[in-house]
Amino acid sequence: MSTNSQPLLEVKGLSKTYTQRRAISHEKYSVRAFDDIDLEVPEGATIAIIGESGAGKSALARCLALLEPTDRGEIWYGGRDVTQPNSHDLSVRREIQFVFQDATTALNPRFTAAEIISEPLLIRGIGTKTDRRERALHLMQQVGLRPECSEKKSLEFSGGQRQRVAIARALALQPKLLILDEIFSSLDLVNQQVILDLLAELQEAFALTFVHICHDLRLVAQFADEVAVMAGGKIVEMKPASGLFSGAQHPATRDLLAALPSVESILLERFA
Amino acid sequence: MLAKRKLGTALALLAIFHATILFAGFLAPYSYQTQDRELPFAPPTRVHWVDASGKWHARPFVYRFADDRANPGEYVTDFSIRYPIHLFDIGAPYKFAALFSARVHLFGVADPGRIFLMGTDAYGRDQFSRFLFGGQLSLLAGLLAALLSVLMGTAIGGIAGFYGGWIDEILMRGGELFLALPWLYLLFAVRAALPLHVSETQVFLLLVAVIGMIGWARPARLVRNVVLSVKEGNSVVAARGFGASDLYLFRRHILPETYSVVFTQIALLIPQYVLAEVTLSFLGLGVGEPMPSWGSLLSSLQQYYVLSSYWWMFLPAILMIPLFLTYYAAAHAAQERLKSVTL
Amino acid sequence: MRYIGRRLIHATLLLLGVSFFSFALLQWAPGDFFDDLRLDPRVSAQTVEGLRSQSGLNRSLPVRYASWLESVVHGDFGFSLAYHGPVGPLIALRARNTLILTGTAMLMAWLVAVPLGIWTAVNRRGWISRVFGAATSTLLTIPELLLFLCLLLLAVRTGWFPAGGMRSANSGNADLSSEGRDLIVHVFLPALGLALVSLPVLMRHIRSAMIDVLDSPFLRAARGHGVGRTRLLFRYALPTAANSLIALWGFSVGGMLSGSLLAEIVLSWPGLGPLLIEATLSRDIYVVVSIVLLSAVFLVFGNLLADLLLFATDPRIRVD
Repeated sequence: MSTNSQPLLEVKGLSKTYTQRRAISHEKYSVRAFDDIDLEVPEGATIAIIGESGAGKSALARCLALLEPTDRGEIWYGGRDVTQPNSHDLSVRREIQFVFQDATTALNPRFTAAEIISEPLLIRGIGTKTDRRERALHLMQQVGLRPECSEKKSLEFSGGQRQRVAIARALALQPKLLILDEIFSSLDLVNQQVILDLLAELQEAFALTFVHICHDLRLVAQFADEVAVMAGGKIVEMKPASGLFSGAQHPATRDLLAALPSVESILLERFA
Repeated sequence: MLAKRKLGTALALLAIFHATILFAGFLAPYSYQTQDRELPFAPPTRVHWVDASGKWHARPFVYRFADDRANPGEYVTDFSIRYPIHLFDIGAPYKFAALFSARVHLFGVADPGRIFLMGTDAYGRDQFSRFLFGGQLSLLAGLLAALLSVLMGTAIGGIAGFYGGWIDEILMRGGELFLALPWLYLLFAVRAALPLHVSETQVFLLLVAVIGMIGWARPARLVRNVVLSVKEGNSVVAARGFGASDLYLFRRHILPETYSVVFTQIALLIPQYVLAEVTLSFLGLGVGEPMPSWGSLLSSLQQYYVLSSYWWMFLPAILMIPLFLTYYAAAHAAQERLKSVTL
Repeated sequence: MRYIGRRLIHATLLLLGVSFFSFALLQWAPGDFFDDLRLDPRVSAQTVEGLRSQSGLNRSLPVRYASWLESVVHGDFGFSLAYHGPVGPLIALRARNTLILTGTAMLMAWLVAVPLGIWTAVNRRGWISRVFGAATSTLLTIPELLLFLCLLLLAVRTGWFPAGGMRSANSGNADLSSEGRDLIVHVFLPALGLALVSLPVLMRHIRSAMIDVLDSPFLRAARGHGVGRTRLLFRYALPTAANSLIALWGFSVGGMLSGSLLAEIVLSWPGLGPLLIEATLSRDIYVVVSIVLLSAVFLVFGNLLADLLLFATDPRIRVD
């Protein structure tokens, strides 16, 4: 848990709307991704944002990772206002990293694993070619990939291995905050646990903070310290995982929980 | 890997054909200007191994044509003298790639023998030699114009796809404009609008430029579509998140995806552009004498008596067919290969 | 209605753009109608300049373009320097002839391509289908020029068809039916040439459009319900494929027109083609620009017509 009183990431009143055009008549119409989001992420914590599909979770994740601009609101990282895209200096962008849902599309199929993992270093101009390669191999080791695989293209890996490559890439710049967008949804059950354990190890080793987007409550119950529930583009409830079952609950939360009665037993086991 | 092998074969065939044209000076027994006023419209010379008395010779030979006293304007073969074919004959000088001068030809016959593999035209000029030299002009025009079109198209399509928004709108509307142009009409018009005293090279370059600049619209749209779809892909988003510059993204992630489309477009455009040059030259709007083009080789066919009596004048057009076939085969093989490599 | 309006405005802007572009291109290219005259030592430079200003060639580009546009509206399409008269009547006749040729060729091409395309799509596996496929591929690689020359050869050698022109020398007073026959005999070869040139691409597109429809889920469901083959084809498949066919038709108009240029020249059909060559060789600029514009008009009109037909027949466009 965190020792620092100031939250690592703080979000106030964040909103984003997408404008799209109809197919043939070319009329514009708006889609609200999320509206008036407030969130606090303490250092070293593991937060989970849950909710049904289409509730705007992925859009929120990308905005938290500073990948897309927002329309209204503020984002504060480490005590600094980083809402405007141009106001990030490189150090901020380095410290917040994003892991995509589908590793297959997030990794360029023509690159080798070593190239993928060392790409952030290449873009930042860090180190020589040899340095970058060494670091890539080191990272592969840490995520549990054999160094002989470094020259393989991403297509040649299995789903779980690809996700590990993606995580290794996210770690290349030594971040402090990782936003992970539904990374478990394309993995089978065994791989889900494997990645879960890996993340726990990495969090321990590098003092990382995680924000997960996840719709699977079984998994959320295993790793989350705090849970935020999203419905219709707003956060309707935010509480510690231990208190997820007790207390006043938003109807959306109750619907989610009702789908998986076994979650209660897991929670009881952990916090009883 | 059948697709890979097909592509390789097609490319190898193209390389052979182009090398042949490139070495026109060496492979052609005569220069493209050499005239033989005594032998206008002579049919193709036949190559013999067995002479009139039935004797077989190791070295092939030809007979000379003489005027037929009985039928004026026709030829009869003079079987009295054999003219053996020599390899590496010394003949008319030529320039290789406009740099080196040489006089060695692959084959030839001694004077006054003649070897006209594709017959002669109205001035007694060897059509085979003129076909090879003409290929240099027509093929080069097609190649350069296709390269120009595709380079322009890639640049414009890349910018349109990458930056999107109103830039994309304007550029693609401009492309529509070009697609709506009746380009053949415009080509004629521009060519004839050129002043009288322009050098051959300038005419050639201008032709290439106009043909090339008219055709950028389709490659541009195709490249733009590729760029659009790659740009939204997660690997590009991720790289952008690491702080990559636009140039890096374009160079490292987007451009490699366009190679297949670019190659296919070039392979499809070359035959079209070669034909455009051929059409222009056929109508007398090409580069002009004395440099031959495949089109000018065919232009005498507009006269009825040539059309119906001298069948060998069709040969340049017929020989273009396998060349175009190979280009199309290369384009299709490239498309197949593209389909098998992407996810 | 908004849709139609938008398409019309779009088409008009496109045509304005094309005409301006061609105008500017020709203006930029050095040389003009009086170049030959300038070379003649007997004619003084002043006379040439006088002639130039008389025909208005010394005005600036925007002024000339504007006055040409005005003359277009009046139907004159500018002034022909070679024929000493307005361009309009000159190209009207030729345009009519080109349309006759193109129309006939299109009719021929579609009459063959549609049944064949549908048939080879339905009988995909048969050996006949493959034979046709090979034939169309072969046809595709034959250069147009060669094709037209061969047709000319056919005419010259056999005498079955005239080798050029639109009418026989002794026509004119004859009755309508023999004049009609005369026309058909003259238009047959060039139209056949044009039709053959567009046939392979057309057949290929029709075939693939039919295959798309035949493979679609809704058609397979209908087949599963036991709908008979003929009914399936005519009541289900064809109406659905009609969409892409209409769009294809709009496209093919333009291609056909570009091809007609060469056909008219090689086979001596008195259409816009030979006039264009003549005008460009003598740099009769207004004739050239008008012909270029006219061909663009046909092209754009074909596409526009296809769009409008689609609008009328495809309910999806109206709903959105």
